Amino acid sequence: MRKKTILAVLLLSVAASILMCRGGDPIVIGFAGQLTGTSSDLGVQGRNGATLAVEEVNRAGGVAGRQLKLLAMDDGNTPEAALAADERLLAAGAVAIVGHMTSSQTMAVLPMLEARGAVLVSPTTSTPALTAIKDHFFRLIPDNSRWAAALAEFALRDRKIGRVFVLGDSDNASYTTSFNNAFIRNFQSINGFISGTAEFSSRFRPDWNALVETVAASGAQAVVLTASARDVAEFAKARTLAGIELHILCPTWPYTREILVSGGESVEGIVFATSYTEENDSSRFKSFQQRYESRFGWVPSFAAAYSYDAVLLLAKALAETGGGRRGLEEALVSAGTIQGAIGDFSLDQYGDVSRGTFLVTIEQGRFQTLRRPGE
Amino acid sequence: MSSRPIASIISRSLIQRTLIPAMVCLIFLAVIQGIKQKNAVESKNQDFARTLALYTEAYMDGAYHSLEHFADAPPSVSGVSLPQRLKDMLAVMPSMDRLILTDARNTILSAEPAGPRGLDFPIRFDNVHGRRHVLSRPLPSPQSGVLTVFIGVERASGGVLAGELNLFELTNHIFALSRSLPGEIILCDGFGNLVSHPEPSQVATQTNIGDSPLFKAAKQGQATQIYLDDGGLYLGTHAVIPELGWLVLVRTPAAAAMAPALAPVIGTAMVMAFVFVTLTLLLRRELDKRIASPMAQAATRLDRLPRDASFKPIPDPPFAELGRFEAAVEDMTERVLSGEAHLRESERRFRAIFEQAAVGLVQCTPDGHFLRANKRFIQICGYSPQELSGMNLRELTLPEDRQGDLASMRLVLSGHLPSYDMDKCLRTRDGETVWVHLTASAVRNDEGEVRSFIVVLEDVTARKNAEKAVTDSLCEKEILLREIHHRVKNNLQIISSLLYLQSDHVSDPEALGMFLESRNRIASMALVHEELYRSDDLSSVNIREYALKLVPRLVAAFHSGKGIRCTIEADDVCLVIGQAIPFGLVINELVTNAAKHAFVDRQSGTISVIIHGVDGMLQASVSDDGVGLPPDFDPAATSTLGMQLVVQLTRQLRGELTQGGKQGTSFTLSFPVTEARFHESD
Repeated sequence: MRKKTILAVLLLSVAASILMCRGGDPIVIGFAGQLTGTSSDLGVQGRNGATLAVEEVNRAGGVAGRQLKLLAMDDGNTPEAALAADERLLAAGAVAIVGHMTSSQTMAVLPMLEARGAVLVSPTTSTPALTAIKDHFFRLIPDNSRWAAALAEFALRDRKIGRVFVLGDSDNASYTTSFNNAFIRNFQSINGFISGTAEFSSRFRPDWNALVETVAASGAQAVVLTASARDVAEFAKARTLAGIELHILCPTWPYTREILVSGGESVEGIVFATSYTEENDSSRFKSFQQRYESRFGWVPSFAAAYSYDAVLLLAKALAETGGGRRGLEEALVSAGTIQGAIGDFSLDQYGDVSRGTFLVTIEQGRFQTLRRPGE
Repeated sequence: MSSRPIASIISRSLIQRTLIPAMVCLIFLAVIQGIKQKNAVESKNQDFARTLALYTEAYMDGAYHSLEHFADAPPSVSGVSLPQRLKDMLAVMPSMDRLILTDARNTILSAEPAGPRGLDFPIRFDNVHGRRHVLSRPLPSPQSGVLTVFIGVERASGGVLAGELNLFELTNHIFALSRSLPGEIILCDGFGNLVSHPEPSQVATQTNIGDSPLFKAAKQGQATQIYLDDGGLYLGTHAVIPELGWLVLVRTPAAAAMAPALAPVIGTAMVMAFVFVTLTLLLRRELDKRIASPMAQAATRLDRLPRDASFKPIPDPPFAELGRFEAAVEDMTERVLSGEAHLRESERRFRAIFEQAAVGLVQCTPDGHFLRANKRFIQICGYSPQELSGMNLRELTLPEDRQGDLASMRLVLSGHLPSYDMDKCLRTRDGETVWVHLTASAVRNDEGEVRSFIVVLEDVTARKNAEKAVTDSLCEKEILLREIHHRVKNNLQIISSLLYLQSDHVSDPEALGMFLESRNRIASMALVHEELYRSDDLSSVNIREYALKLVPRLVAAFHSGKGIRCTIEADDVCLVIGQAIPFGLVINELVTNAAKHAFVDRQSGTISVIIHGVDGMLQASVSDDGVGLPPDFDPAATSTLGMQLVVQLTRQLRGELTQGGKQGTSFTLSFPVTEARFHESD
């Protein structure tokens, strides 16, 4: 009788412990992005933005009574490392992955994630190749074809630039090709002239002087440069040293403070087409900036803001699924309006977000907004 | 509950008395050692953290100092250009990757290597200590990828001289120093951005540890911290680098930190456990061989002992207690055999008494189910033993008797009564009823709980029938006697009426008086008979009731229009008819005399009659407040019929008549009451 009582008490204790552990298990959210290398500004800012959101959600009580846990992996900005990172995240029990920060890595991992039924919520993947497709991919940034159209129209109409050379980093081909093609298509449709196109691999340290000369030789008045902040800065410095008058037009990718640090005077006048601007006067954005700076000691970029929004969206969807992976796709598209760091947003039925386009330039070492959505 | 083997009992006893106290002592020792070791590790870590903080501060101070040296240098008099001066300085500052000079408006005046000029310097940051600034977080160099940090000093002429400080050397030194410590060294800025970490990948991925418990504790000023991180328990401490706001965090895995102190304790515990297990096994083996097995064999022989056979101990027991035990068992088995024989004899006798008893005997359960019944009961109720085995005593009881039975049985069950008995009817198997006198008593166990009832039933049907016949006969006689008294009273009434009719023809007042007195005497006798047949008890008359009726009638008959009042005070005394009639006549004569003679020449007066029964004597007093008797009055010598009757009747009652009274007349009659029931009034 006594042994039975002791056994029953032990069993009850074990059961209670298991239940308590289950109840206290955090919901693991994976983050995958480039945390090392020349384009790590995107990944690090994205990871930190996601970290801030996770901490704030947890302080507010978590999701479905459980805490969130962010597990970050470096995707090395290569398809192989991206796949390995996602595999590790899924093996660690991630219910969804926030990332990747570049389109090439997203395109590389998506088939595997589709096969595994895993959800990818990307803060900054903007390739149009994934637009309006019912899949496991969701994004917080619009596809880059809108920026391309806005940039083409701005170059020809506002700056009277008729000849443009199109240059891109082949290491992020999905992003580069889609944006550059969209620009070419839009620019030519309004009678612009493409003087030439070229690609380079940022991994193999391209000869920036040779590239500048190639562009100049084509007679282009401007170059559309689809590359990371540091690569654009290097190109700009080479252009300045060569003393060539050449406008530089970019998508959102290099629109980070790294370009200011790296490029200095040379990056003056570069124009970015983006869905994000630091000149956002909303109290919510200011508060986000202040919280981010207090937490990490530096200014957030669009990557941080979109990653922050990605976690908020994911948290709302996970609240609907009780913290589980099942039904997460439907919960994401039906999450409704989210009050994000930049402003309110929602996803359409394909998991794509809609945001307006800003045109931003660098003046006196600071980002300045040239045009806001609707202007 | 099954008892445990002796080896198990001894093992448990050993655990309770030796192992547990030893383990408690070891745990206490481990706690003491652990606390001392924890304090020692924390102290050592704190010293190390402070040393590294001082080193880092000195390193950074060197970097600042070299910037200050250049920033404070006077403008070149030899015409050396600003870029050249920066270039020269960079050449002597190997830890700087880049130098930037700005004016008071934060515009870049010059940079080396060559960079933006004339623009706003894009980096602004938080820490300002005097003229020294930390301009950025630790971040990989755009050119080399090596971790760098922008620092700057204010120039006396305004503006800042900023340098991109390469942290490779600093982190290498910290990494080398940390090898001498069992713990881990983490260097980070005030926001948790890593500068140095035991895992280089953490720095490479620019990890922020702002959410780690140790960092939070350090920011809150806690000197030491025990915390869980990544599934491991750590002892952590920190030191602050004041000018930078950076933190040196030192953490040691708790297991590694405590191992030196706990290893001896754990070793001792393991040795103790080994010794204990070995000793226990040896002891159990010896116990099994010398005690448990012989005991088990003795138990087996006891189990297999044939019925009616006595236990025989083994001649040479392995230990003395077993010999004593077996001897005791042998003695006990013999006593048990003797007791069993005695019990069987007792059982035979009981059975014979039970079965052959002249009265019905029944044993039943507390709720009345039959367990056993003797032959006499079978004869009384008519049911066979097999039929009774499924029946309840209540089934033989008439419905109207069941409640009474149940109440009595409950009193016995609750212990308020040892037994109860009653006359009741039983319904026999043929449907007839049989009168029995039932006595039921409870049989209780040692705890006082009722195990069964023993019920004795005696067939009293014949006695009941006889009792009924006697009662019926008595009732008939009572009716007859009451009728006789009624007729006597009626006859006396008729005589009285005849005397009344006769008195109508008498004109002589004296003769009329005699008629009236005679009628009253007859009426007083008739009243006795009337009281008899009206009373429940035909053998005696209640004198109080009698007096209350008689005296007022007499006073009314002789008051002659005067205001004569009578008071009667009488006890509830009963007299048999033999005494009641003479007593009534005496009262009649005394009251009549008082009414006729006491109030001559008076218009009012009071006649008092007091009757008391005391100690078997009845004392009746008749008095008045009238003229009184002559002083020489003697009732015995009086020739009047009334007084002669009084004297004669007093003798008949074997009583005594006394005369007295200071005012008026008073006679008191006392006599012994014969076979009369009386009740004294309060």
